[in-house]
Amino acid sequence: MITLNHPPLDLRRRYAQGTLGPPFEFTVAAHLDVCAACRSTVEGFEVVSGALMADLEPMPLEAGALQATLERLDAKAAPPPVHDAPAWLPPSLRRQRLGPEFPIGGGVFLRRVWSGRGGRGRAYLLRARAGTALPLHDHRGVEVTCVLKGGYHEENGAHPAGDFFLARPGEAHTPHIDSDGECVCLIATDAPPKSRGLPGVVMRALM
Amino acid sequence: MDHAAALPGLSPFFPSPLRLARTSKGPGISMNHLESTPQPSGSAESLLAAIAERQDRASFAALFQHFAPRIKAFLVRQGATAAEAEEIAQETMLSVWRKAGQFDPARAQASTWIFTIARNLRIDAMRRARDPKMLSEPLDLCNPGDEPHFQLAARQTENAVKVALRDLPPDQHDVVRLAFLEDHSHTEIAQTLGIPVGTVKSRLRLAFAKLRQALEGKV
Repeated sequence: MITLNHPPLDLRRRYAQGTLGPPFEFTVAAHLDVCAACRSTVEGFEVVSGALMADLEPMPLEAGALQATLERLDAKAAPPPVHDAPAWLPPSLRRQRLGPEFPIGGGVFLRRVWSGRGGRGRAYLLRARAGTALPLHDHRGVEVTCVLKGGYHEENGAHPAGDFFLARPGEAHTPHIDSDGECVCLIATDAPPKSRGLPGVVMRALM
Repeated sequence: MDHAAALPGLSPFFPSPLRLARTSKGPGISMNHLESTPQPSGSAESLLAAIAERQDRASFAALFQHFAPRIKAFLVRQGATAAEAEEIAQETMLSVWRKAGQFDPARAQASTWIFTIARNLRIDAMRRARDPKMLSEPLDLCNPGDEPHFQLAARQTENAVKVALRDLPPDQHDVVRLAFLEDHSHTEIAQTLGIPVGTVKSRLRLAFAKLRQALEGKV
């Protein structure tokens, strides 16, 4: 039986309380879009955070803040941005403007979701055709993968759609895309892009 | 519908909920256009209903006076600058005005709902600023073997959580505040409180077990 991997409880807590920022929050949000059990945990932590917030010593706003906000009440909200998005894209990613899709060879395509200032941290989509073997690679930083479509398998086992997998620095793996369809993964990492080789060049161009 | 009767139950963390708003007409804030209408009273939930049903500005002002300064305090605790926190607090309340009709009191209490709006706006701001947050040392909250998912009680649990927080022994309360409010790691909490890391872990697990019982409706 294939079991789904979930975000560690600690990441669910940080997501709920708002201290897990980009790039990793994208992967937790994408998992929550498909996992009711983790949503329930996150809602629990939101209750705790809301209660802690209500308990805080208030910090006064600047003079005139209420008046300034009252004056804005009648203004129409800007319509949410509509981006051209494939059907399998989870709701949490639809507000984000994606970069162009870029082929890196071997039937593998990369697409930017988010990049941090100065190359610190990024999130991107990796799309690969059925049966593709990705080259063995290791991680200089933490790399989190959430499967959005299809599935892949590797030394650690199977990773079906919705799976959330965290690889620590130094861990190496050889992912194989399942043979029954293409696979799209959302990947977040805090490692700097590799400086050598085609993927590194593409990555720097993309981000 | 009169929610005023519900207020005493909220008192530990929602002291005299909106009396603050009713009495504060501080310098620099012109409330003249609100003077003619009776000042709103009642729970945050009933104020949200008044906004949803009849775009009631006085109810909005009361909610703003209560929640905006707490949102600002919360975000500053989490490391936002005062200016960022101020802006997000105002944007959150603007969102509360626009989305009041989506608030479902059967699903969440007002402070949880308003908190999540502020949280989402803060994440959006970090995305726009291209401001990365790296992963720090994980905090283990569960005892080995505990089921890491939990089943939320079907009914509102916020009061039970507030009571559980209030009833935590002070040493556990301190650890929870540092971990949940300020996102400190075990090591940082140990340094801040001058206690061993092992003690931090055991206090956190004890406190978390109590909060979890409250969330699962087992208290």
